[in-house]
Amino acid sequence: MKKTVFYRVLLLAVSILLAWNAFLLIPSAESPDAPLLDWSITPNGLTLSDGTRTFSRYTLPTDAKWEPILSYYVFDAGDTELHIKGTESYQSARIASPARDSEIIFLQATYIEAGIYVTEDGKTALDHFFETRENGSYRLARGAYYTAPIDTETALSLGQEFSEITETDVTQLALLERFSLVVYDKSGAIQWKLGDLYCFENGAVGYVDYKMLNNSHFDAEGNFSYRSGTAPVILLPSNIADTLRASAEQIEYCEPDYEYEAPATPFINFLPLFWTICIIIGYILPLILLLLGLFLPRSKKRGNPKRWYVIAVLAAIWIVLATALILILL
Amino acid sequence: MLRKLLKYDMRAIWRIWWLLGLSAMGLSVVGGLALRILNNSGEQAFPAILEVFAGLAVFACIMGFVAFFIGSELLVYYRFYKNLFTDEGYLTFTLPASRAKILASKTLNACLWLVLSVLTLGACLIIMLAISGSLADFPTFLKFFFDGADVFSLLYILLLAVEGIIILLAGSWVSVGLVHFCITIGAVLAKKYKLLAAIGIYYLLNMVLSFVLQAFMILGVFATAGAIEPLFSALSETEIMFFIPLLLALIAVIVTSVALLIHYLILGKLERRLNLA
Repeated sequence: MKKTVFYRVLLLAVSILLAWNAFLLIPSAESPDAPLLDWSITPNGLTLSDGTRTFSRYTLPTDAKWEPILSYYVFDAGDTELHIKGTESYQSARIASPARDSEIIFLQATYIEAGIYVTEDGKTALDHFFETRENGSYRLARGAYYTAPIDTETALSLGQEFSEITETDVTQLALLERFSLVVYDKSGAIQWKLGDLYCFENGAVGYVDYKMLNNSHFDAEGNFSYRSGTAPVILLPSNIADTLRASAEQIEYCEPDYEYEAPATPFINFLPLFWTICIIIGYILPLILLLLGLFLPRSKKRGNPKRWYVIAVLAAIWIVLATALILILL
Repeated sequence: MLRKLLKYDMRAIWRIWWLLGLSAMGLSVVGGLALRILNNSGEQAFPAILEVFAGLAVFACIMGFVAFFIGSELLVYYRFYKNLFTDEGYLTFTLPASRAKILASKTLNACLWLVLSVLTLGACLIIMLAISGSLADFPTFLKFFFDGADVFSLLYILLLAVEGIIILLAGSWVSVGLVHFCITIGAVLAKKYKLLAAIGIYYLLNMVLSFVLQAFMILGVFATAGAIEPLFSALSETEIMFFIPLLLALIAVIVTSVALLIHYLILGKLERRLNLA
């Protein structure tokens, strides 16, 4: 009878082990053919959906660009698989949205031309921005990521007509220190270059307003061309020039003026966990041993007291060493 | 009496172990030559078939080392089982020695052979690498390592090395103790098929322990990785110098305590629960 019971127990143990091994194998059997993604797009590339919201493709004015300041550029769905609606096919895509505005997103996909997609609210906001430039933020920029904010009043005053306008050789302008005047929409991701500022050697500051230029002043990429010819330069009054120079001196590598915490990598303070583990290993475990070592020798059932005293001594040394280590760390 | 018990235990294992050890040494010579052929295959044109055999020889050599280690362990544990839990147990327990001394002898015997097996494997590896010519730069490395080291640094390294050796010895005591514990429990629980029961218990125990340890390690690694940088960057060089040997000493005490607990658990079972009738 005892033999039967032992066999049954052994069989049960082996069955549990086999079941556990089978359970461990489950993840490796998971099918890779069914990506659990919400992003989908219509075959013509005009409508994008994230499962809950729908975005329509938005055509920017030719002189505006999706070029966010580096730190504003947040990939909500880094590399993802985009489902082509009505088909079984997927294509790899990168979907980005500015941290400040999830109504406007940027899509970069394998076979669909990169572009901007907006919700109804996003479309209204962008239309309003391009019509009025309201709610935009103005910045002096040098290169892609070095910028300094300037106040709206100063920026708008540059567009006013001043009496002193000189036609200047563009090859001479190319030699001067220069800054771009850029206006970003509310999202901080769509930029519209309004003109360039030039610092002359005599201390004067000139402004080339793109509104005053015709197509011959730009290259095929839409950038101001320094190849040949002249451009009208507005010489700014000294008070505006001084303000702009002061702003130009503050140009620095752009830092976000907000804190964005990506949900995928939340900041966790591990110190409490570390100290908890220290307390468990350093005090609770040896304390149990110490108590056992001190109290069990009194129990007649538990055998040789000398053995338990050895355990108690070791536990005491354990606590002392742990305390020394913790004191050093503190 | 402990010395006598240990002498006979060691002699019994030695009778077969020296053959295994010698075979492992022989294999290391063959492996070294094979490795030499593989190392020089770019400079000298060896027949392709020779290179294939050399590769196979290195593989066989490594398998042989593994077999030597497992064989050594099996010898020791089988003797423990046979001496204490089969009919031979009647004879063993009639010896004028306490069960504590018998267990101490078995444990010391197992630890010694574990250490000797590891040392033999180390020697085999050195022989293999020396014959293959891979150790040519080793003296330069040692010179570079110890060059310019003052007496204090050498003493500090010696202290760390001693602590490391104590941890390794205590660790081998734990591993031997775990196997002895499983064999003992298997023999106490099962009337027949005691070895099978011991293997099952060892597998179960190992699985449970590895789960617990892994969970603890993952938590510990996260906590340490996340917290150690700010904590350690605040420590001075002197504090770190004290911290490392203290940490090693703590680890040594923890491992020794675990080993001792396991040892006492086995002893408790041997003294009060074992019934060979």
